[in-house]
Amino acid sequence: MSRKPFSTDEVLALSPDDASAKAARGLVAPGKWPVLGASDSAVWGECQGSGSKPYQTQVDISGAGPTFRCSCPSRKFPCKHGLALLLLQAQDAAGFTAAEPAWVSEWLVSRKERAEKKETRASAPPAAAEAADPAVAARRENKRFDRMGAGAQELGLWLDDLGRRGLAALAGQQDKAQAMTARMVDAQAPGLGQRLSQAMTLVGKGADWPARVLERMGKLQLLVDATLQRERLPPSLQADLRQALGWPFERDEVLAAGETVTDRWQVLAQGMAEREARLTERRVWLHGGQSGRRALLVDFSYAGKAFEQGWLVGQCVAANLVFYPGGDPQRALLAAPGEAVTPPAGPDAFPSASQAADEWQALAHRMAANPWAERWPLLLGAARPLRRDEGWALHAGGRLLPLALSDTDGWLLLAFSGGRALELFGEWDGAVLRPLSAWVTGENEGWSTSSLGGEGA
Amino acid sequence: MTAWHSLVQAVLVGSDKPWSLPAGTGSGADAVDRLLRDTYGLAAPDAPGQLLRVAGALALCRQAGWQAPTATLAPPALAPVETRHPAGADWSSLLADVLEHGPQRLQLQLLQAMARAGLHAPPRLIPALLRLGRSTALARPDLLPVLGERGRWLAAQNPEWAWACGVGESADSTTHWEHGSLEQRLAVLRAERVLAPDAARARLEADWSGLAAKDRAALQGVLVTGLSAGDEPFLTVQLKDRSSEVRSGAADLLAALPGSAYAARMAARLAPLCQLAVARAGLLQRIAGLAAPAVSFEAPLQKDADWKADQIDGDLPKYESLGERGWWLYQLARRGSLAWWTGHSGLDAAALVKLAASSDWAEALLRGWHHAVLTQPDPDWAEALLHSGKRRHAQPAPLLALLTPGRREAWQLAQLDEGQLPPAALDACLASVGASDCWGAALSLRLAQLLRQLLDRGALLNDYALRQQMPDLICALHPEALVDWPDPPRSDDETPGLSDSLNQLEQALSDRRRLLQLISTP
Repeated sequence: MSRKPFSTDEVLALSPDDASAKAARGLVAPGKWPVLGASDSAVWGECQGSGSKPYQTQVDISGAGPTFRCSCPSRKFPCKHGLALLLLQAQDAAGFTAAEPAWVSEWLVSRKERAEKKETRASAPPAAAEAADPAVAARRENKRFDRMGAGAQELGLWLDDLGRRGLAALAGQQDKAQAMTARMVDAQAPGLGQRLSQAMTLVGKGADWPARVLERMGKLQLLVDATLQRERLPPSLQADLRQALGWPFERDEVLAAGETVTDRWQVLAQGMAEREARLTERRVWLHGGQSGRRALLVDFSYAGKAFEQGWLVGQCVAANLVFYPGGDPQRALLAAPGEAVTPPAGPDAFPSASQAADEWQALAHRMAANPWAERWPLLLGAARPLRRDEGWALHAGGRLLPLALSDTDGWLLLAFSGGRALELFGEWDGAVLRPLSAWVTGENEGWSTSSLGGEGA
Repeated sequence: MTAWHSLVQAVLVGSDKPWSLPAGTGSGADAVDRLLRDTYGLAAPDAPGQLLRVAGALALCRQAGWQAPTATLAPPALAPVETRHPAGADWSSLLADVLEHGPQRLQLQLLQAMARAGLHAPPRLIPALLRLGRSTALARPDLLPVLGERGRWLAAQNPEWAWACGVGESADSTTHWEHGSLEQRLAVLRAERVLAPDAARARLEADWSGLAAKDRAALQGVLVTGLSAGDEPFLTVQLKDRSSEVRSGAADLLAALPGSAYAARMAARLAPLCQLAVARAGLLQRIAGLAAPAVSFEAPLQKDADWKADQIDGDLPKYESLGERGWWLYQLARRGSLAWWTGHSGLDAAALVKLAASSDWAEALLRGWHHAVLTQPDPDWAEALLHSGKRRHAQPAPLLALLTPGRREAWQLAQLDEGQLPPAALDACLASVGASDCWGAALSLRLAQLLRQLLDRGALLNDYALRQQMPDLICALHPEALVDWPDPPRSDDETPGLSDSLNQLEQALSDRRRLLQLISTP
């Protein structure tokens, strides 16, 4: 499949942050790149770094979106070299004349093999190995749930003590809460610990902190209750519980148990966030053109390793998605690398928001179906961003929504809107909306950011 | 009190104290109320975790039923429709690059080109343009059209970008004049003096008596711009100022007004010192009627009592290299009108300077005229004085600035051919070219040759100043000089610093070429 070089804007949209974009621009100098080449399936180049050996940078463009790989030690993804390579191509594709070196062909072959293997795995009868001895698997699962149950019990005692002594006593309790968080990791229920430490970060912040901490602690209590009576819950809620406790499903488990949806998926937004050191989380939000389903793909990349599949906001991909089991399936897996398809042109280029009231109604249902979800996709129509003294807000349906936006992104969004009503997509966390993309129906160019902010995973 | 509030109150003090839901809760009025009742009824209020459990159930319901507060603010008005053409992808991507890494000269050149081409920038570059305008006042005239309606609309919503909204600007200048620093006051006065010289003078005159001597002297200097006969009364008052610095400045300015009473008094003093004589010409010249008149210069024989009122100092200062009579002549030359000299002698500046240089009073006259030409800008005099001897002018820049670009560059080219070397030559050339301009073709070609020699010799390795200047120099070269400019030599063992500066050089070169390409293809 041949495609024209990415435009400068498309490349910059892939940048994990402003600093990377800036660094990449600094490398857009042909003299820096003794070797530059391109084929229908890849773009490659050698970039003179500070060391004696040049970095080998390559981008697989055969898939739906570009996939990067670079021999540099950067933990940004994609790194500045990958971005600079595509920027150079955008500027002057004629200079990409080098023949395909072995390090490129080998990588492409290995990627293809991996993709094929995955496909066979996906089409094979699910989880043959696991099926061999379901008893063993069940026993292992029960053992872990026992351990998580013990942790939950301990946390329950701590919470009860907190409730009895009152929130006012929390102020000096950071150490004890930290010890409890560590205990939850030992009990293999890191999700409990994470929610506890997130609640603790709110203590003493702002006048209404007791109410906000109470919300969190109350929900944590429900999570503890649910863990202790797991067997009585319906299977879908059990699946949500397991993930909320911090025991994610393995790919095979999802492929075996999840619902498969075939559709043309439109990329609504793509966000990157640096988690612990050297770990990058990527969240891609998709919208199914026929099914109307919204799906979230979550990937992690460690130490700048390439993500399996690249995505571009606005692009349309025909693919099978397998949804994670649960009461409100939202997170999904890509069963096999998708194939880019021409996105519908004209007014259907992006989905239009339904009536605002319907969107909020649907959101309430999703919350009821999975009470432990921490963020939800929200698509609002006729939305006008605005700046007030306290920060950014969204004027929609006669109401004013608080927005979580950096100043840089905020001014860009406002510049894009020009006071017009936008379709705006973002992540809602129950209190604040984090806008990730916005567009005007019928227009090609939109606004998007890949910044997920600094909130914890 | 709502159920939620009572729960928050209860949890603050702790469930060891008795707590309950407010009366009326749990009557089953709606689904949430029933859920609350059922959860509350699950166990006694002091059962383990019961308070948090009830709060958790209610928190989830509140989260699901949350409604944003009704907007009390109106949404921003719609930005006006653009009247200019949207910049195409090639202009936009170049603008993004150039905004990102400069140099400033290229930013100004690009903005100027876009302003001339009737283009406006895409929305995603507007915040960066507004930030540029905030830090670089020089860029504002061309930024304003390029920002387009959307840009001005956005600027109106951020007080930091008030410069782009017409209203903010005049409010600014009033505040700056009344409450600003000396720098800000100078800027206000300079700007007004260009547009409305009389109003600017009136503004200064109104404030004059309350100003400190240092501020009076600094602000007085602004009057050199747009100087006219209308300024004479105010300057004449200043001739009696308490501060000697102000008196001296007033005298310089009055001398620059040919019709002023001061200039007439100076002319009367100078006339006897500049004697016309017909030189003995050779036979051929006499036949051709080319017998050039000549002048001889004299210095005053004694000081005059009325000099003092006109700021002529009769006493020789300490450490003055001139003798007493030379000192007198220097001051008279400095405060004389340059136009009087040419008018009186019938000679042009070049001839007068040449004659003076070979006379006994060379230093007094040349120093005096050099001083005079700074308040009486005249390209002929400036050029004549420049040629009169480089040693006298450690700082040729002020004189160079008075020349027309063509003559300035011819002079600089001559300097380069005489072997003047960087960095002095480069600094001088950069100092005399406007912030967004480039040099003429001849000077550029010569400079490009010089720069390439420097690069080939590896000058960037240790010359940190040159590293900094390189991108700017590239953009100050005439397009013709860039045609054959080769990529700089690269090698594997570059230090990271050198590598960075070579990248910047290549980047500037490539961006500049892209701009030239865009300008040449309408």
